[in-house]
Amino acid sequence: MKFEVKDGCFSYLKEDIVLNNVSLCVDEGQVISILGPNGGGKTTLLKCMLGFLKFASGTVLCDGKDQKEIKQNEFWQKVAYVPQARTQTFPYLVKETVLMGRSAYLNLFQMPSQKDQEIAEDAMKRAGILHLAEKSCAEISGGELQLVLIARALASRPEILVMDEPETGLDFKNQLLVLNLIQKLSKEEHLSVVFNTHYPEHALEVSDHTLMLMKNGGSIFGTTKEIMTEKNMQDAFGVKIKIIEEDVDGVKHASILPVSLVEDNER
Amino acid sequence: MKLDAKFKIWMIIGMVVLILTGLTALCLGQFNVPVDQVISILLGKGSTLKNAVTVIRQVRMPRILFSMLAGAGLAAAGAAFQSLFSNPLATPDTLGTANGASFGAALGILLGISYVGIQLSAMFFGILAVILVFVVTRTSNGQNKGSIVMVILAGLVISSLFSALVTLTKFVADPNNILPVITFWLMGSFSSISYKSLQMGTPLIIAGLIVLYLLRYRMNAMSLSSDEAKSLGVNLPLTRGLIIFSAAAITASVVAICGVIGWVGLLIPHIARMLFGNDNRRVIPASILFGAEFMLITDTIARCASNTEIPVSILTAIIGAPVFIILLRKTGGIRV
Repeated sequence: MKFEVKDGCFSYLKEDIVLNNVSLCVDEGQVISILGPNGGGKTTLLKCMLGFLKFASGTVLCDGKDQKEIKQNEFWQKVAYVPQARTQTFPYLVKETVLMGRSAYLNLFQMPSQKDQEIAEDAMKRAGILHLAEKSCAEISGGELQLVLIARALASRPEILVMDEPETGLDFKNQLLVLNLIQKLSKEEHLSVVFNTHYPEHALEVSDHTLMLMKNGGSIFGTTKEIMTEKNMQDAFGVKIKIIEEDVDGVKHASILPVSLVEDNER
Repeated sequence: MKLDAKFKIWMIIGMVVLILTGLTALCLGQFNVPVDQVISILLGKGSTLKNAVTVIRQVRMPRILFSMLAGAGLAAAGAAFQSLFSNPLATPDTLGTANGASFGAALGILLGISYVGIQLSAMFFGILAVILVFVVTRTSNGQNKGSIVMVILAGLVISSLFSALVTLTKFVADPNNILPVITFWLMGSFSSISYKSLQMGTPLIIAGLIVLYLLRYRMNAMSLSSDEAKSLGVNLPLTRGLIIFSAAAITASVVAICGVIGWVGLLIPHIARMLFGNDNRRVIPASILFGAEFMLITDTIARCASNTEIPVSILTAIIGAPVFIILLRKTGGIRV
């Protein structure tokens, strides 16, 4: 599925523009990262893309069709949202949580069927958490809970995953688990993934295209290579940055070194 | 599968126990009727005991049926509200329904209208309270418009308003004859149930119970944040509206007929959660069954323990609190 945002504008208060003419385009199997400083509108953009908030102007298109004209449950069968892992008020079992991903296919009074259970089980397998199925979401670690939420999203058999900072608050190993899963889903299963991140390295590591949110609601979008330059990052974050590339076992990895703060008048 | 199997066994045992308790409750009272006579009366063959048929059919039967229905309804409404507000402390009267209905009844008693009139007035004000909560929530501006926090806040305000109005009616009531009636009625009692009140109260309770039972799977998604629920394809306004109006209809009907009965809506759903986990496919049916059983037992004790009726609300707390504490200790809370 082709997912597009065209000239999206948004502000909570009239004088304070959060997003100004943001555009991005996601093709099948692509990974798109969204980078930007704290309070720069990353989460707001995701919420607008998904229709939780409404763009003041601009459109969201799925395969060229305006999102507003698509029925809610049809939209949510194609697009899945992975929120940040938070503890549930009423902890459900992992398998119950993942099964909720089937809700978009059920009508108001319908119970999930055996088929739905199987699809949920398959989603747990793909996310590598089948062994946790019988555990309570209150007993597992933050990293595992994030994978559970990804499995729940996969259970709706979507064409695109939209993730809100999926690796924030996780340790190295769990971050890699999540990133590897993102890569696997896009390369092997041709799922599109859009994710917000605080870590430029992660964007460099897994994404094809990057949207960088700049000051005053502006943004730049292009291939990750084009966008993730020392100059652009300095402009967006106000930090002098050095990109260090390193070959490990024949694979190129990049590390980003924040050198110093840049005073506003130097920018 | 383990929880599912445990749930099935408990439900079957629970149903058998409920039938046996119901039968026992029919036998017990100021006038004891042996069990073989009760069965013969239930089968329509009459009884050799004088007045037994009237006592069983006209007095105990409606009372037992209604207490079970009220317990089931309040417990299901409590469970539904807990999921809807994703708040373990939510109860059937969170939105001011109970206080609204209380005011309606107190006003009816004060004005000296008929028993049926009192019930209608209670139901009217109980549902009015929910409508007011909706109006307040809708008219608020800004980002919080229609949010769950706004709904709870509005419920609190409307609830306090009606609670003040109840106090006002008590204040102006004649302390010699009207005030005691209002006070006893507010304590909650099943003593004045007849087939007539059964006919009036049950349709809304049964309708509410059916809707909540059918919506039980949707309640799982509803207990998540509203963005998550929406992203699971849930129609939020419709589902919220259905749950709130069903729970409010149940609460208003129960309060209208037998006064305020606390604790059931909080205690029973949590017992269900401790035993079977938080999946509402189990919590709702278990709450309905346990709620019916719990109310039946407390009401039977209320009318048999002493020569005068004990207000059932007092007993729900006295029996409920220790049961709850024992379960809390045994299961370590709701995190199954």
